[in-house]
Formats: sequence, structure tokens, C-alpha cells
Amino acid sequence: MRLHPATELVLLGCALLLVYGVPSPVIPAAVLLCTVAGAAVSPRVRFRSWLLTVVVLAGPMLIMVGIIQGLFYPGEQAQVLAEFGPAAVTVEGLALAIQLWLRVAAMVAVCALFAFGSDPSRAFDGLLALRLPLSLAYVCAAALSLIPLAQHRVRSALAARRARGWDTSRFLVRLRLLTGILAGLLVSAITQLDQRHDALNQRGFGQALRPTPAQFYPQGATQSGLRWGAFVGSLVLVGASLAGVLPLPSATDLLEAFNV
Amino acid sequence: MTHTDPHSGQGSVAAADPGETPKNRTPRSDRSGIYVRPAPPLWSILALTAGAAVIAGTYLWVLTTQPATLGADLGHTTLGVMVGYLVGAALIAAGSLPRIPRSVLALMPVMIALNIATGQIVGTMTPIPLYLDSLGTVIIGVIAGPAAGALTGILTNVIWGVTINPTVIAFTAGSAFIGAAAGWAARLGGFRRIWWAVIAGALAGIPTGLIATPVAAFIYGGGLGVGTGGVVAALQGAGASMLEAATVQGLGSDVADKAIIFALAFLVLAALPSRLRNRFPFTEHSAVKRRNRKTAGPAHAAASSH
Repeated sequence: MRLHPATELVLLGCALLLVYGVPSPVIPAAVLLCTVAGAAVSPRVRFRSWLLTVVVLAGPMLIMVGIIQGLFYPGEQAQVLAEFGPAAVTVEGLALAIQLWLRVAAMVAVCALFAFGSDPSRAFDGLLALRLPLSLAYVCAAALSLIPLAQHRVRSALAARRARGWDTSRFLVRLRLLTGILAGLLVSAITQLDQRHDALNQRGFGQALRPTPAQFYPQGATQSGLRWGAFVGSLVLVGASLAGVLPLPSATDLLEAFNV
Repeated sequence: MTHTDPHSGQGSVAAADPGETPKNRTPRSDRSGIYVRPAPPLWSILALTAGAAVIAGTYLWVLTTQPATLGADLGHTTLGVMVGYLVGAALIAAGSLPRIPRSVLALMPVMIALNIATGQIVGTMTPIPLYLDSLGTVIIGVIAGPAAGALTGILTNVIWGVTINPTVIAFTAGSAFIGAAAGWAARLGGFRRIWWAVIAGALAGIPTGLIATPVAAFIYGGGLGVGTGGVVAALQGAGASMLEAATVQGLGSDVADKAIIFALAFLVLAALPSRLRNRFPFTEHSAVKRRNRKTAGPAHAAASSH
């Protein structure tokens, strides 16, 4: 059964809250594993594309945070494993780097799963179901649909300049051409406002406070219960963590368990 | 559709917007006949004030109560920073919405897409320690005012965050500030000459860098972009704490980044035809000063690169 887009958005928000709200590394690891399983079984998400996205987005962060905290951790009471001149591999630095990366990787995985399984129309209906103002929902959905269009237009503009003899493979040339390309993008956007206005007017945009969804979505007590359950459950977990009564191991506990 | 220029053949000169036609708009004019928008409701002022207070309070809380370097256990600092900044941004978004004409709302998606396209390529995938993810935000701030700029910044980071790169969600408060700062700078005439725009951008980059510091240090450990992360690693290697390294890197990158962004926005706006600029009354604050045609550099330079 496919989820209602509002339920997907709520689950996304709850994942964000849990990953950043509970300091135990178990939570982001669990979210990451659940997302891998979700991407593997989902018929709407191509697993290889999803995995490639996660690797491309979270991979550089692993390298950078590994270098910054793994080799240059600034804590004074750190247990040094190896030293290389000014750089030192420390237990605390490595633990911190792994936790920070786990959080980012979990969030990248969840958001990529949402992005691959959704489209602007579903996002628009989901935002409206969550009582977001119509104008904001329109801006969000329209921006989602325009991201590939903006990239396409920039590529076309660069191709046109390349045809006129500019060496667009050079960074300085691209920088020099940037102003003209962006001005062209802005001019076309402003001149298209009229067309967009007419199209939206003809479709009756803004006439109804809650427009009818463009597609059929599963409704009912299950979806509503899932939304409220996830929201309340996440709040309870974060509250318990803040109160110090959540029985999940911290990074220090895990290090002690492995005798590090 | 209203049409006031029968010779241009390029559609309406008056602002046209989704869900609202100019002819249906309640006519409110001052003595000179210029359209005057109704005053925003009191709750919007309260929401904006509360949002700014929550963000400032979160920053001060981090600075005064949290350690400058995280230990092996992350603790709840990240939750405090995330919640404080996002709640503040949500309040600012709610307070901004009634102040923004719908014609600007229709332009926002394009600028948000522009922010995301440039920011994703420059900010996270190149070794340049800059971001270049707020050009559209600054343009909206200059042509439509601080509220529209702030809302564009917030929506950019939220949409970018839930679709491509969730790491930017936590930087929403800084994006809101840069959009608002562009509007304030434009209102003060900061976009009448290119050097004024560069100086205004550099000045706006200081608070933006400071706002982003706790996020970069405590949520991402300074390791987001290749270029920015390299600077943080070098500073930590030189003995700086996580917060100090992120502050120095943030200030350096943001001051340079916003100066470049404001200059680019100036050039893009100077290259716009007057007819299109006139659709947005706020651009009257940014009318480019030219001594004579021979020295009208920016607009001609931008136009010649078409």
C-alpha cells in the first residue's frame, strides 16, 4: 500500500527529529537500515539510483568529517591512537566523526527515498493536507518542478555560447558568462509570469481554500493514525532522551563495550 | 489581463499573479497615485519579532552554555540548535507571508530553483570555500523587499533539504537573514552602485556567518563542503576549538560569498530592461546611478556578455 503524501512528509519530519534529537548512534543507524530496506522493497524507487545518490551526497561528508575530526580533533583529553606530525588519530575524534556522518547519511537516505518516490503534484497535495497555506504549497511544488528546468536552461545557454566560440570548459569563462546567463533566466521568468498567471486563473487557482487533490490517495484511520502515532512517538522518544530515561547506549558505552 | 503598453507586444506591464488579477485588487493609492499595500497585521509583526528573538536566543545559548568542542557523546546541543533555528525560521516565514504580493510569490519558485542549482554545484561539489546558494534570495530581496527575501531563503533551504541535500535545512535561519539583509540594503540604496553592493554584501556576511557557526560546528563538525571543510581542518590542526574554527571559516567564507553574490545580483538587475524592473515597485530604491553613457559600466558589461 502506498502512503498518503502527507504521511510521507510527517514520517520525513519525524526521522529528522529522531536523528538529531536522540544522541545515541543507534537511532541514525536504525533509520539508515530501515531506509535501505524501504528503498530495496519499494516498487517506485530504483535501488541503484537511490544508492548512487546517497553515496554521492554522503560520501564527501564522510571523507571531510573523517579528516577534520578524525585527524584534527581539538579536544584536550583525547586518547591518541597514532600521530602524524600535527595530525593525530584519536578515539574521541573518530567516534565523533562516525556519529556526525551517520546522522547525515541517515537523513540523506531518508530524503532521497522521499524525493525518488514523490513528485511536485504529490508534494503539493501533501502540503495542503497538512494545512499549509495555498500560496506556500504552490511555491514549494512549483520550485520542485522548476529545478530540472533551471538546470536545462543554464545548460542550453552555455551550449549557445559555446557555439559562438566561448571556451565554456574554463571556469573563468563560465564566471564571466554567468551574469548574462542569469539575467536571461530572470528575464524569461518574469515574462512568463503572465502566462503562468493566465494558466492558474483558468484552472481556478485560489478560488477554493482546499482544492481537490490531483490524484487519489489512500485516506482513512490508518493513514491518520500513522501520522499521529509517528509524531507522538517521536516526541516521546526525544522527551525521554532529554529526561535521561531512554535506555539506549551512548557512543561512550559502545566504546567501552568494545574495550576501546 | 490588463495591458498598459500597446506597443511592446510583451504582455502586461502591471504585476500579474496567480490567484489574483490586478483588476480585482482593491484600489488604494496615495496622493501621487502610487499603489499602496495595506498595512500588515499586528500578528505578523509579532511573529517576525518572536522569530528573530528565538534565533538570537539560540545563538546566545550555544555561545554561553555549550562547550566549544563536542565530546565523543554528542549530547543535546545539536537538538537545541536545530529546534531553535527552525522554530525561529518558521515564525519568520509565517510573519513574512502576509507582507508579500502574489506577483512575487509566482517568481519565487524560479529563484529557489536557481539557488539550489548553483548551491548544490558550488557549495558541496567543488573545492571553492564558497556557497553561492543565495543569488535568487538576494535578487528577490532587492526587487520585492526584506520579507520576500527572508521567505525565499527559508523555502530554498527547506525544499533543497527535503529533496536533494538535507544538511542545508539547519542553515535556514542564516538564509532568512541574508534575504532580509538584501532587502534592507536595497531600501538604503545599497544597490545603486556596484561597490555599494559589494560593501553591503560583505557587511551582511558577518551576521550570516555568525548565525551559521553553531550549525556548522555542532551539527556537522565543520565537514560539509570540500573547500570549507579544508579550512576548518587547517584551523583545528593549528589548535583552534571546533567553534572557533567554524567561526573563522564561516566569517571568511560568508563575507566573500555574500560580497560576490550582492555584486552578481547588482549586475543581473542592472541588465534587466526598465520595463521589467518597473513591474516591481521596490526596485525604485535600486535605480542605478549613472554619470553618463560612457561610464555606465555594469549594465553594458552584463548586456554585452549575452
